Amino acid sequence: MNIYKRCRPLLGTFVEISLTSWPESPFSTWVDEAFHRIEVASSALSFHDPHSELTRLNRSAIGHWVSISKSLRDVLELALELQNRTGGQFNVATAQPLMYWGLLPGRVDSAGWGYLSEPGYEVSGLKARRVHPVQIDLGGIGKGYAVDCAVELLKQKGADVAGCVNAGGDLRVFGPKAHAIWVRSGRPHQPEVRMAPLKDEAMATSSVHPSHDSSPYVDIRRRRPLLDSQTVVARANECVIADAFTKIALLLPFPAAQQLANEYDAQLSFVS
Amino acid sequence: MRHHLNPSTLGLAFLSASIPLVSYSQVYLTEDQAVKVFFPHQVLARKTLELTTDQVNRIEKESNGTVRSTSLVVWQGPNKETMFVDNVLGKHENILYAVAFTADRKVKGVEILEYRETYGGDVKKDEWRNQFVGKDVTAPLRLNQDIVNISGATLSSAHVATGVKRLLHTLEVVHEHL
Repeated sequence: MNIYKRCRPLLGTFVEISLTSWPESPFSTWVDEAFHRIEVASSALSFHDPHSELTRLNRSAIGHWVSISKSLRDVLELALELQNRTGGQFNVATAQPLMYWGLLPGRVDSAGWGYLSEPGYEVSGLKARRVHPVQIDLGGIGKGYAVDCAVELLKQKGADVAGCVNAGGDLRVFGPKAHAIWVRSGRPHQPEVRMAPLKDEAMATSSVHPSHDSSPYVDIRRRRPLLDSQTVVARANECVIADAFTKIALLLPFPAAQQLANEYDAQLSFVS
Repeated sequence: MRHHLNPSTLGLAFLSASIPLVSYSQVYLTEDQAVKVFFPHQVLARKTLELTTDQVNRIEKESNGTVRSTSLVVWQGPNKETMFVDNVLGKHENILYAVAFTADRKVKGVEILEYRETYGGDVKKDEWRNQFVGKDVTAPLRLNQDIVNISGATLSSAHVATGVKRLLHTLEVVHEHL
Protein backbone atom coordinates (compact mmCIF):
# COMPACT_ATOMS: atom_id res chain seq x y z
CA MET A 1 0.00 0.00 0.00
CA ASN A 2 1.30 3.41 -0.92
CA ILE A 3 1.56 5.67 2.11
CA TYR A 4 2.64 9.28 2.32
CA LYS A 5 3.47 10.21 5.91
CA ARG A 6 4.68 13.39 7.52
CA CYS A 7 5.24 14.31 11.13
CA ARG A 8 5.67 17.63 12.89
CA PRO A 9 6.07 18.59 16.53
CA LEU A 10 2.77 20.34 17.26
CA LEU A 11 0.26 20.46 20.11
CA GLY A 12 2.91 19.38 22.59
CA THR A 13 3.28 16.07 20.84
CA PHE A 14 4.12 14.67 17.44
CA VAL A 15 1.38 15.07 14.89
CA GLU A 16 1.49 12.50 12.11
CA ILE A 17 -0.53 12.97 8.95
CA SER A 18 -0.68 10.02 6.63
CA LEU A 19 -2.40 9.62 3.29
CA THR A 20 -3.15 6.13 2.08
CA SER A 21 -5.05 7.12 -1.02
CA TRP A 22 -5.00 10.22 -3.14
CA PRO A 23 -5.74 11.25 -6.70
CA GLU A 24 -3.22 12.78 -9.07
CA SER A 25 -2.72 15.99 -7.20
CA PRO A 26 -0.39 18.12 -5.12
CA PHE A 27 -1.08 15.99 -2.07
CA SER A 28 2.05 17.12 -0.22
CA THR A 29 0.64 20.65 -0.34
CA TRP A 30 -2.58 19.37 1.18
CA VAL A 31 -0.61 17.93 4.07
CA ASP A 32 1.11 21.32 4.49
CA GLU A 33 -2.34 22.93 4.61
CA ALA A 34 -3.55 20.37 7.16
CA PHE A 35 -0.57 21.02 9.42
CA HIS A 36 -1.20 24.73 9.06
CA ARG A 37 -4.84 24.21 10.06
CA ILE A 38 -3.63 22.50 13.24
CA GLU A 39 -1.31 25.44 13.94
CA VAL A 40 -4.22 27.84 13.51
CA ALA A 41 -6.38 25.83 15.94
CA SER A 42 -3.50 25.71 18.37
CA SER A 43 -2.98 29.44 18.19
CA ALA A 44 -6.59 29.86 19.30
CA LEU A 45 -6.77 27.13 21.93
CA SER A 46 -3.33 26.90 23.50
CA PHE A 47 -2.99 27.50 27.21
CA HIS A 48 0.78 27.79 26.87
CA ASP A 49 1.00 30.23 23.99
CA PRO A 50 1.14 33.72 25.54
CA HIS A 51 -0.46 35.12 22.37
CA SER A 52 -3.31 32.63 21.96
CA GLU A 53 -6.95 33.65 22.11
CA LEU A 54 -7.41 31.41 25.13
CA THR A 55 -4.59 33.18 26.96
CA ARG A 56 -6.25 36.48 26.18
CA LEU A 57 -9.46 35.17 27.73
CA ASN A 58 -7.61 33.76 30.75
CA ARG A 59 -6.01 37.15 31.31
CA SER A 60 -9.11 39.24 30.71
CA ALA A 61 -10.98 41.07 33.46
CA ILE A 62 -13.78 39.06 35.06
CA GLY A 63 -17.05 39.88 33.34
CA HIS A 64 -15.36 41.50 30.35
CA TRP A 65 -16.45 40.08 26.98
CA VAL A 66 -13.60 39.02 24.68
CA SER A 67 -13.94 38.42 20.95
CA ILE A 68 -13.14 34.84 20.00
CA SER A 69 -12.82 32.81 16.83
CA LYS A 70 -15.18 30.07 15.74
CA SER A 71 -12.59 27.48 16.81
CA LEU A 72 -12.42 28.71 20.39
CA ARG A 73 -16.18 29.22 20.46
CA ASP A 74 -16.85 25.64 19.31
CA VAL A 75 -14.55 24.12 21.91
CA LEU A 76 -15.71 26.33 24.78
CA GLU A 77 -19.35 25.59 23.97
CA LEU A 78 -18.78 21.86 23.77
CA ALA A 79 -16.93 21.99 27.09
CA LEU A 80 -19.83 23.82 28.72
CA GLU A 81 -22.30 21.32 27.33
CA LEU A 82 -20.26 18.41 28.67
CA GLN A 83 -19.78 20.13 32.01
CA ASN A 84 -23.55 20.37 32.25
CA ARG A 85 -24.12 16.78 31.13
CA THR A 86 -21.58 15.37 33.61
CA GLY A 87 -22.91 17.19 36.63
CA GLY A 88 -19.88 19.45 36.64
CA GLN A 89 -17.29 16.66 36.68
CA PHE A 90 -15.94 17.52 33.24
CA ASN A 91 -14.57 21.00 33.61
CA VAL A 92 -11.98 22.72 31.44
CA ALA A 93 -11.63 25.63 33.85
CA THR A 94 -9.44 23.58 36.16
CA ALA A 95 -6.07 24.97 35.17
CA GLN A 96 -5.70 26.76 38.49
CA PRO A 97 -5.51 23.57 40.60
CA LEU A 98 -3.01 22.21 38.08
CA MET A 99 -0.99 25.42 38.37
CA TYR A 100 -1.23 25.23 42.16
CA TRP A 101 0.12 21.68 42.08
CA GLY A 102 2.92 22.76 39.75
CA LEU A 103 1.56 20.73 36.85
CA LEU A 104 0.99 23.77 34.67
CA PRO A 105 3.18 26.86 34.49
CA GLY A 106 2.23 30.00 36.38
CA ARG A 107 2.10 30.89 40.02
CA VAL A 108 -1.16 31.00 41.93
CA ASP A 109 -1.82 31.35 45.63
CA SER A 110 -4.62 28.80 45.84
CA ALA A 111 -6.28 26.03 43.87
CA GLY A 112 -9.46 28.09 43.68
CA TRP A 113 -11.80 25.19 44.43
CA GLY A 114 -14.62 27.52 45.35
CA TYR A 115 -15.09 28.55 41.72
CA LEU A 116 -15.18 25.09 40.19
CA SER A 117 -18.64 23.93 41.18
CA GLU A 118 -20.31 25.83 38.36
CA PRO A 119 -19.32 27.07 34.90
CA GLY A 120 -16.50 29.58 35.15
CA TYR A 121 -17.20 31.28 31.84
CA GLU A 122 -19.95 32.16 29.38
CA VAL A 123 -20.10 32.17 25.61
CA SER A 124 -22.35 34.34 23.49
CA GLY A 125 -21.91 34.28 19.74
CA LEU A 126 -18.28 34.97 19.00
CA LYS A 127 -17.61 36.38 22.44
CA ALA A 128 -16.71 34.83 25.77
CA ARG A 129 -16.17 36.09 29.27
CA ARG A 130 -14.98 34.65 32.52
CA VAL A 131 -17.58 34.92 35.24
CA HIS A 132 -15.24 33.63 37.95
CA PRO A 133 -11.48 33.96 38.38
CA VAL A 134 -10.83 30.58 36.77
CA GLN A 135 -8.11 29.56 34.34
CA ILE A 136 -9.19 27.53 31.31
CA ASP A 137 -7.00 24.81 29.83
CA LEU A 138 -8.37 23.06 26.75
CA GLY A 139 -5.65 20.42 26.66
CA GLY A 140 -8.29 17.76 27.36
CA ILE A 141 -10.23 18.30 24.14
CA GLY A 142 -8.34 20.80 22.02
CA LYS A 143 -6.01 18.24 20.52
CA GLY A 144 -8.98 16.24 19.28
CA TYR A 145 -10.52 19.40 17.88
CA ALA A 146 -7.31 20.24 16.02
CA VAL A 147 -7.26 16.72 14.54
CA ASP A 148 -10.84 17.21 13.34
CA CYS A 149 -9.91 20.51 11.69
CA ALA A 150 -7.11 18.85 9.74
CA VAL A 151 -9.31 15.91 8.75
CA GLU A 152 -12.14 18.16 7.57
CA LEU A 153 -9.69 20.05 5.38
CA LEU A 154 -8.32 16.86 3.84
CA LYS A 155 -11.79 15.39 3.30
CA GLN A 156 -12.71 18.43 1.25
CA LYS A 157 -9.97 17.51 -1.22
CA GLY A 158 -12.03 14.64 -2.58
CA ALA A 159 -14.03 11.55 -1.65
CA ASP A 160 -11.18 9.30 -2.73
CA VAL A 161 -8.68 10.90 -0.35
CA ALA A 162 -7.98 8.60 2.59
CA GLY A 163 -5.67 8.68 5.54
CA CYS A 164 -5.25 9.46 9.19
CA VAL A 165 -4.34 12.41 11.39
CA ASN A 166 -2.77 11.30 14.64
CA ALA A 167 -1.83 13.76 17.38
CA GLY A 168 0.03 11.66 19.92
CA GLY A 169 -2.65 9.00 19.98
CA ASP A 170 -5.70 11.17 19.45
CA LEU A 171 -6.44 10.20 15.90
CA ARG A 172 -9.06 10.18 13.21
CA VAL A 173 -9.21 8.01 10.14
CA PHE A 174 -10.95 9.26 7.03
CA GLY A 175 -11.78 7.99 3.57
CA PRO A 176 -12.91 4.66 2.23
CA LYS A 177 -10.24 2.49 3.88
CA ALA A 178 -10.34 0.86 7.30
CA HIS A 179 -7.26 1.18 9.52
CA ALA A 180 -6.06 -1.28 12.09
CA ILE A 181 -5.22 0.37 15.39
CA TRP A 182 -3.18 -0.90 18.29
CA VAL A 183 -3.46 0.61 21.74
CA ARG A 184 -0.78 0.49 24.35
CA SER A 185 -2.08 0.05 27.84
CA GLY A 186 -1.07 2.16 30.79
CA ARG A 187 0.88 -0.71 32.29
CA PRO A 188 4.53 -1.12 31.42
CA HIS A 189 5.70 -4.04 29.30
CA GLN A 190 2.22 -5.00 28.17
CA PRO A 191 1.70 -5.92 24.53
CA GLU A 192 -0.46 -3.69 22.40
CA VAL A 193 -4.14 -4.43 22.24
CA ARG A 194 -5.61 -4.61 18.80
CA MET A 195 -8.85 -2.69 18.49
CA ALA A 196 -11.57 -3.22 15.92
CA PRO A 197 -10.53 -1.41 12.71
CA LEU A 198 -11.49 2.22 12.31
CA LYS A 199 -13.19 3.57 9.24
CA ASP A 200 -14.23 7.20 9.07
CA GLU A 201 -13.94 7.30 12.82
CA ALA A 202 -11.83 8.78 15.59
CA MET A 203 -10.13 7.22 18.57
CA ALA A 204 -8.48 8.73 21.59
CA THR A 205 -6.68 7.28 24.57
CA SER A 206 -6.02 8.65 28.03
CA SER A 207 -4.49 6.98 31.00
CA VAL A 208 -3.51 7.53 34.56
CA HIS A 209 -0.21 5.85 35.08
CA PRO A 210 0.16 3.51 38.07
CA SER A 211 3.63 4.76 38.98
CA HIS A 212 2.72 8.43 39.05
CA ASP A 213 1.59 10.26 42.13
CA SER A 214 -0.18 12.87 40.05
CA SER A 215 -2.19 13.28 36.88
CA PRO A 216 -3.56 16.13 34.76
CA TYR A 217 -7.14 15.08 35.51
CA VAL A 218 -8.73 17.04 38.30
CA ASP A 219 -11.15 15.23 40.58
CA ILE A 220 -13.24 18.22 41.62
CA ARG A 221 -15.29 16.38 44.22
CA ARG A 222 -12.28 15.01 46.07
CA ARG A 223 -10.19 18.11 45.32
CA ARG A 224 -7.20 16.12 44.15
CA PRO A 225 -5.70 14.70 40.95
CA LEU A 226 -7.38 11.59 39.63
CA LEU A 227 -5.07 8.75 40.61
CA ASP A 228 -6.95 5.54 39.78
CA SER A 229 -4.64 3.75 37.41
CA GLN A 230 -6.39 2.98 34.16
CA THR A 231 -6.27 3.41 30.41
CA VAL A 232 -9.41 4.30 28.57
CA VAL A 233 -10.06 4.29 24.85
CA ALA A 234 -12.92 6.19 23.26
CA ARG A 235 -14.19 5.91 19.70
CA ALA A 236 -16.46 8.47 18.12
CA ASN A 237 -17.17 10.08 14.79
CA GLU A 238 -15.21 13.18 15.76
CA CYS A 239 -11.88 13.23 17.51
CA VAL A 240 -12.91 16.06 19.84
CA ILE A 241 -15.72 13.84 21.16
CA ALA A 242 -13.43 10.84 21.53
CA ASP A 243 -10.85 13.02 23.28
CA ALA A 244 -13.43 14.46 25.68
CA PHE A 245 -14.91 11.07 26.51
CA THR A 246 -11.58 9.59 27.51
CA LYS A 247 -11.60 12.20 30.29
CA ILE A 248 -15.26 11.69 31.11
CA ALA A 249 -14.67 7.93 31.38
CA LEU A 250 -11.90 8.58 33.89
CA LEU A 251 -14.00 11.04 35.89
CA LEU A 252 -17.42 9.36 35.97
CA PRO A 253 -18.49 5.87 37.05
CA PHE A 254 -18.31 3.72 33.94
CA PRO A 255 -22.05 3.07 33.44
CA ALA A 256 -22.80 6.79 33.65
CA ALA A 257 -19.94 7.62 31.29
CA GLN A 258 -21.03 5.01 28.72
CA GLN A 259 -24.66 6.09 28.97
CA LEU A 260 -23.69 9.65 28.15
CA ALA A 261 -21.27 8.45 25.48
CA ASN A 262 -24.13 6.64 23.76
CA GLU A 263 -25.85 9.97 23.23
CA TYR A 264 -22.78 11.18 21.36
CA ASP A 265 -22.38 7.93 19.38
CA ALA A 266 -19.19 7.21 21.28
CA GLN A 267 -17.97 3.88 22.63
CA LEU A 268 -15.74 3.52 25.65
CA SER A 269 -13.45 0.68 26.61
CA PHE A 270 -10.80 0.17 29.22
CA VAL A 271 -7.51 -1.46 28.39
CA SER A 272 -5.83 -3.43 31.14
CA MET B 1 9.44 -9.42 25.11
CA ARG B 2 9.35 -6.10 23.37
CA HIS B 3 7.29 -5.78 20.28
CA HIS B 4 8.67 -4.10 17.24
CA LEU B 5 5.83 -2.65 15.29
CA ASN B 6 6.33 -2.44 11.61
CA PRO B 7 3.55 -0.18 10.44
CA SER B 8 3.77 -1.41 6.88
CA THR B 9 2.74 -4.91 7.93
CA LEU B 10 0.75 -4.21 11.03
CA GLY B 11 -1.28 -1.32 9.76
CA LEU B 12 -1.36 1.87 11.67
CA ALA B 13 0.44 1.75 14.96
CA PHE B 14 0.32 4.93 16.88
CA LEU B 15 2.08 6.81 19.58
CA SER B 16 -0.53 7.00 22.23
CA ALA B 17 -0.89 9.89 24.62
CA SER B 18 0.08 9.42 28.20
CA ILE B 19 0.82 5.76 28.02
CA PRO B 20 3.97 3.69 27.80
CA LEU B 21 5.41 3.09 24.43
CA VAL B 22 7.06 0.01 23.12
CA SER B 23 9.56 -0.18 20.35
CA TYR B 24 8.44 1.81 17.37
CA SER B 25 10.22 3.43 14.50
CA GLN B 26 9.17 5.44 11.55
CA VAL B 27 10.88 7.15 8.64
CA TYR B 28 8.97 10.14 7.31
CA LEU B 29 11.16 12.13 4.99
CA THR B 30 14.67 12.04 3.59
CA GLU B 31 16.72 15.22 3.80
CA ASP B 32 16.10 15.84 0.10
CA GLN B 33 12.37 15.47 0.54
CA ALA B 34 12.38 17.81 3.53
CA VAL B 35 14.18 20.48 1.51
CA LYS B 36 11.47 20.21 -1.15
CA VAL B 37 8.73 20.51 1.49
CA PHE B 38 10.22 23.71 2.88
CA PHE B 39 11.63 25.24 -0.30
CA PRO B 40 9.75 23.74 -3.24
CA HIS B 41 11.00 26.31 -5.73
CA GLN B 42 14.62 26.73 -4.67
CA VAL B 43 17.70 24.62 -5.09
CA LEU B 44 19.64 24.13 -1.88
CA ALA B 45 23.08 22.59 -1.56
CA ARG B 46 24.14 20.29 1.27
CA LYS B 47 27.30 20.72 3.24
CA THR B 48 28.73 19.75 6.58
CA LEU B 49 29.89 22.49 8.86
CA GLU B 50 32.47 21.90 11.59
CA LEU B 51 31.80 24.06 14.60
CA THR B 52 34.81 25.56 16.32
CA THR B 53 35.23 25.34 20.07
CA ASP B 54 34.47 29.02 20.34
CA GLN B 55 31.27 28.61 18.34
CA VAL B 56 30.18 25.64 20.45
CA ASN B 57 30.79 27.63 23.62
CA ARG B 58 28.76 30.57 22.35
CA ILE B 59 25.89 28.36 21.19
CA GLU B 60 25.78 26.50 24.49
CA LYS B 61 25.91 29.71 26.49
CA GLU B 62 23.22 31.49 24.50
CA SER B 63 20.87 28.54 24.02
CA ASN B 64 21.45 26.98 27.42
CA GLY B 65 21.65 23.67 25.57
CA THR B 66 24.32 21.10 24.92
CA VAL B 67 25.99 20.73 21.54
CA ARG B 68 26.52 17.00 21.23
CA SER B 69 28.05 17.00 17.79
CA THR B 70 30.38 19.59 16.34
CA SER B 71 29.46 18.42 12.82
CA LEU B 72 26.39 20.12 11.50
CA VAL B 73 24.49 19.25 8.33
CA VAL B 74 23.38 22.43 6.56
CA TRP B 75 21.38 22.90 3.38
CA GLN B 76 21.53 26.37 1.95
CA GLY B 77 20.00 28.18 -1.00
CA PRO B 78 21.06 31.22 -3.01
CA ASN B 79 19.06 33.65 -0.86
CA LYS B 80 20.26 32.35 2.50
CA GLU B 81 17.41 29.88 2.80
CA THR B 82 18.74 27.42 5.35
CA MET B 83 17.82 24.00 6.66
CA PHE B 84 19.63 22.25 9.49
CA VAL B 85 19.42 18.53 10.08
CA ASP B 86 19.80 17.53 13.69
CA ASN B 87 19.31 14.66 16.02
CA VAL B 88 17.92 14.69 19.54
CA LEU B 89 18.00 11.90 22.04
CA GLY B 90 15.14 11.64 24.44
CA LYS B 91 15.11 9.31 27.37
CA HIS B 92 13.70 6.62 25.15
CA GLU B 93 13.79 7.91 21.63
CA ASN B 94 16.05 9.12 18.93
CA ILE B 95 14.60 11.77 16.67
CA LEU B 96 16.11 13.04 13.44
CA TYR B 97 14.51 16.28 12.40
CA ALA B 98 14.98 19.21 10.07
CA VAL B 99 14.50 22.89 10.83
CA ALA B 100 14.12 25.38 8.02
CA PHE B 101 14.88 29.07 8.43
CA THR B 102 13.88 32.06 6.39
CA ALA B 103 16.48 34.48 5.05
CA ASP B 104 15.95 36.68 8.11
CA ARG B 105 16.72 33.69 10.37
CA LYS B 106 13.28 32.90 11.65
CA VAL B 107 11.96 29.37 11.94
CA LYS B 108 10.06 28.50 8.80
CA GLY B 109 9.11 25.03 9.93
CA VAL B 110 10.09 21.80 11.62
CA GLU B 111 9.67 18.34 10.11
CA ILE B 112 10.45 15.05 11.78
CA LEU B 113 12.56 12.92 9.42
CA GLU B 114 12.85 9.80 11.56
CA TYR B 115 11.46 8.77 14.91
CA ARG B 116 12.93 5.77 16.64
CA GLU B 117 12.25 4.51 20.09
CA THR B 118 15.33 3.14 21.71
CA TYR B 119 13.37 1.06 24.17
CA GLY B 120 9.99 1.02 25.84
CA GLY B 121 9.33 4.06 27.85
CA ASP B 122 6.96 6.36 29.50
CA VAL B 123 6.31 9.37 27.37
CA LYS B 124 3.86 11.92 28.59
CA LYS B 125 2.63 14.29 26.00
CA ASP B 126 -0.84 15.43 26.70
CA GLU B 127 -0.19 19.12 26.75
CA TRP B 128 -0.20 22.00 24.39
CA ARG B 129 2.85 23.89 23.33
CA ASN B 130 3.67 27.01 21.52
CA GLN B 131 4.29 26.94 17.84
CA PHE B 132 7.83 26.98 16.57
CA VAL B 133 6.86 28.89 13.50
CA GLY B 134 7.83 32.52 13.67
CA LYS B 135 10.14 32.01 16.62
CA ASP B 136 13.34 33.95 16.36
CA VAL B 137 16.39 33.94 18.52
CA THR B 138 14.80 36.27 21.06
CA ALA B 139 11.92 33.89 21.69
CA PRO B 140 12.51 31.65 24.67
CA LEU B 141 11.90 27.98 24.03
CA ARG B 142 12.20 26.51 27.46
CA LEU B 143 10.79 23.47 29.10
CA ASN B 144 8.11 24.46 31.59
CA GLN B 145 7.60 27.76 29.88
CA ASP B 146 6.82 26.86 26.32
CA ILE B 147 6.22 23.23 27.05
CA VAL B 148 4.89 21.73 30.20
CA ASN B 149 6.14 18.50 31.55
CA ILE B 150 3.15 17.50 33.61
CA SER B 151 4.18 14.07 34.72
CA GLY B 152 7.89 14.48 35.18
CA ALA B 153 8.33 11.89 32.45
CA THR B 154 10.19 12.53 29.25
CA LEU B 155 8.47 14.73 26.77
CA SER B 156 9.86 13.75 23.43
CA SER B 157 8.59 16.81 21.63
CA ALA B 158 10.26 18.92 24.34
CA HIS B 159 13.62 17.58 23.21
CA VAL B 160 12.84 18.80 19.73
CA ALA B 161 11.86 22.19 21.17
CA THR B 162 15.19 22.55 22.93
CA GLY B 163 16.91 21.35 19.75
CA VAL B 164 15.14 24.03 17.70
CA LYS B 165 16.22 26.64 20.22
CA ARG B 166 19.82 25.46 20.00
CA LEU B 167 19.70 25.57 16.20
CA LEU B 168 18.25 29.10 16.26
CA HIS B 169 21.29 30.21 18.24
CA THR B 170 23.56 28.09 16.08
CA LEU B 171 22.36 29.95 13.00
CA GLU B 172 23.01 33.29 14.70
CA VAL B 173 26.57 32.19 15.45
CA VAL B 174 27.44 30.63 12.09
CA HIS B 175 25.35 32.46 9.51
CA GLU B 176 28.12 34.77 8.44
CA HIS B 177 30.30 31.77 7.73
CA LEU B 178 27.78 29.90 5.61
